[in-house]
Amino acid sequence: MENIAVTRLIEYLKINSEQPTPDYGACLKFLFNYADELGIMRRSVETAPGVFFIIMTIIGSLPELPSIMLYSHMDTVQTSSDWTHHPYSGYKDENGTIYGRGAQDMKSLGIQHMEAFRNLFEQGIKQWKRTIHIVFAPDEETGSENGMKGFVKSEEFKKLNIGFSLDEGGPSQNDIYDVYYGEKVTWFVNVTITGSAGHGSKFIKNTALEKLERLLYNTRKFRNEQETLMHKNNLTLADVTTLNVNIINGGVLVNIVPEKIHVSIDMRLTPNQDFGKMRNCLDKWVKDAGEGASYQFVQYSDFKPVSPSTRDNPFWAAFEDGMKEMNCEFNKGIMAASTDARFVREAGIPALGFTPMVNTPFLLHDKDECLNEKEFLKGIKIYEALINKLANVDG
Amino acid sequence: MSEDIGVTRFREYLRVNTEQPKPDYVACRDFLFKYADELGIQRRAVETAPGTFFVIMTIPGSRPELPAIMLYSHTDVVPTFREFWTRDPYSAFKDEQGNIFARGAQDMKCVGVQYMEALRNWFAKGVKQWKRTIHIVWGPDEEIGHINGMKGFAVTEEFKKLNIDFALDEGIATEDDVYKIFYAERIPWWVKVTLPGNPGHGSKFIEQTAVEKLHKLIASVDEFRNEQKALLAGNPELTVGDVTTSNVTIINGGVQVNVVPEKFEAYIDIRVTPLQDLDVVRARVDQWAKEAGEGVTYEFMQFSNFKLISPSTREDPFWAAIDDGLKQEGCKYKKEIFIGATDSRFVRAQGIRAIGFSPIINTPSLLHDHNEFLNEKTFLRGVQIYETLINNLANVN
Repeated sequence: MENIAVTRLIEYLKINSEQPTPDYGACLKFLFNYADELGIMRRSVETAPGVFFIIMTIIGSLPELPSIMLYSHMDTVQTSSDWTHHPYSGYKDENGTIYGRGAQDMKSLGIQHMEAFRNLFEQGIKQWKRTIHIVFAPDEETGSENGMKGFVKSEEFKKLNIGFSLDEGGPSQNDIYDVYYGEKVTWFVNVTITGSAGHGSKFIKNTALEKLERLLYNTRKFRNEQETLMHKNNLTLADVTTLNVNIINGGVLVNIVPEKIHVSIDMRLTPNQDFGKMRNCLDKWVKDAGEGASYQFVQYSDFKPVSPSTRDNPFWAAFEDGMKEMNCEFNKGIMAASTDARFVREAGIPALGFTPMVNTPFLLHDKDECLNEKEFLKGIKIYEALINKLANVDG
Repeated sequence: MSEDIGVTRFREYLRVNTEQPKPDYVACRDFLFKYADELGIQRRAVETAPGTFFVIMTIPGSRPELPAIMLYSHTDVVPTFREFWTRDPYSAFKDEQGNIFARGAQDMKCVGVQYMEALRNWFAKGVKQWKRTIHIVWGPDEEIGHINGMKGFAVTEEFKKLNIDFALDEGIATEDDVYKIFYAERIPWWVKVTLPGNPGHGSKFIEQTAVEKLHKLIASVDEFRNEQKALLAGNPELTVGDVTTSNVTIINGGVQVNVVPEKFEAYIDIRVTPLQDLDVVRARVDQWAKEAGEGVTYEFMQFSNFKLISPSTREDPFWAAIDDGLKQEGCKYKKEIFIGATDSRFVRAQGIRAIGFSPIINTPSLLHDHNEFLNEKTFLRGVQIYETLINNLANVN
């Protein structure tokens, strides 16, 4: 007989909450029924027509203490047409592997939160010191203002009085869990290079092309230095800054030297990087390219989204204790990707990114995203332990 | 003092709007037919595409079995940007110094009219025939290198029947007082390079990317460019026409800032001097692609193996005719390799001698530029020079 948790997961996976037209109405209906089934107070906050946050609340015995947020996002990324089974069919094979967009990122986590409470309630545990908010958010995959980005600035969010948040991490391919206490920061830079134009048969000085060459040289040098650093010191992508020049466009006629070239650069900064120094580097590279080269940020932040990861922080200690209790070995690190935790951290709230999956292939944003039901059920148990520890941290 | 008839015809011609991409070749043909009729020269048109004409005017020689002389000029002109001109580029405005402003004033409506006016002057002196047949040929679409122009016409039977042995074509203006005579051109090679690489997410270190290969390509082309520049700098006798230039003129690649693209494309404009070994230069292009990285390929959008050189020593009777003519006219001159491209390359490719000459000195070179102009005195001096040159050339034994 199928575990009720797996049934609920498959139901949730079947809801097409895929960007750019996620069915949040269906999500709301499903989640409200779910909360009612478990007897948890629930409400919605509409941040844009048809776009909702679902907030479920279990009031603590010491409600004046800052609360715990168990966060997950409802939306999923686009799927290609080459999946083996339809990504919203909730297909489960004979081995108990469940296929669907959101199976790892991150509908399974939302269900695991709920099922942890089902189990805890059955064990007679119905309240903790701190208030707990189970929050289901929209638009994480698009980083829009209607999602966490805008919501953290609202009065509604402030009233939740959150003191700590659990967000998503990623599956581990070996048997050691990964927990993330920080994230890299994304900078998108547009560089415009102008220079002398003229006929293609001439020697022309100060062309846009010679400036491009200098820019490519300097950015390539930096990129290689970071890669070498990573290999030499046995680090991960999260510990270094990556740089990719991904768009270059210039010139129209083959016999005319163009006066303008556009360049777009993708940089992911490790929080270990001095952001001011990085900014200065960028200034220098563009200056070195030559007069007539300038840049602007399409995406930028100077905030380092890092939370405490040592035992002098009670939430970290609680997390560690919970994992120990479950005999779960884990590695702590910086995430190479971006999640909504960055907005929470920027609001001054510590957050950890954690996905309770091991021995699972990394299929976020990929085709045939899947999760085995045994792994899924084990994850629920881990959340039970974490909730007990985190929601009982003294004030 | 009233305006010389030649200057008047020049300004009339300048007012016919033959600007690319929509030249009025019908009005042009009509003007030229009227001009030929005025001088009593046989004329006809060859339509190479609907509304696109060659106009061929012929003065049969006394020895018609001898190969003919072609006095060539192109009828189209390059685009203008009105906001940068002081006067309408098709008004042929003449100021008090006698400067005539118009698109085509230097490149190259002046030359066509100067040929005609040189002939008018000979006719007036009673000279109406030479040994060799003379064809005054007016060609379309030179500025766009189109197959409807000399590019296509030079390989036709029609052209072969003209039996041409020697052609005069355009040169370029010079600011000093030494005329430039062009006996060769650099060969345009236009290369399209395709650089494939590993794609992926913008947040990663990816090896063998397309942009990495593009960078190597640009560096290789630059290295070559600098070598050529050094050659030029090392010898004050040389001009740009004596070395090979290379410019990367178009780069395209990438769509999303957070995605490493799987391909870049680059176009390179190379002008190979005929003084260098073409195979050596070709091998260099191969090397650029090879050194850029795995999978990098290239194709030629324009290529030729012909060294487009015409004789430029007195052993050649036509060159001797020109040398004599310029000496007779007291003209200081320098022979050079043209840095750009003209229709002479198609003529030379047929094994026909061609010399590029625009009798314009003490004038800034403004072809393709704003406020292109030519002074009427310079224009009329040019007519005199052509009188001597045409006479010498058409009488070569």
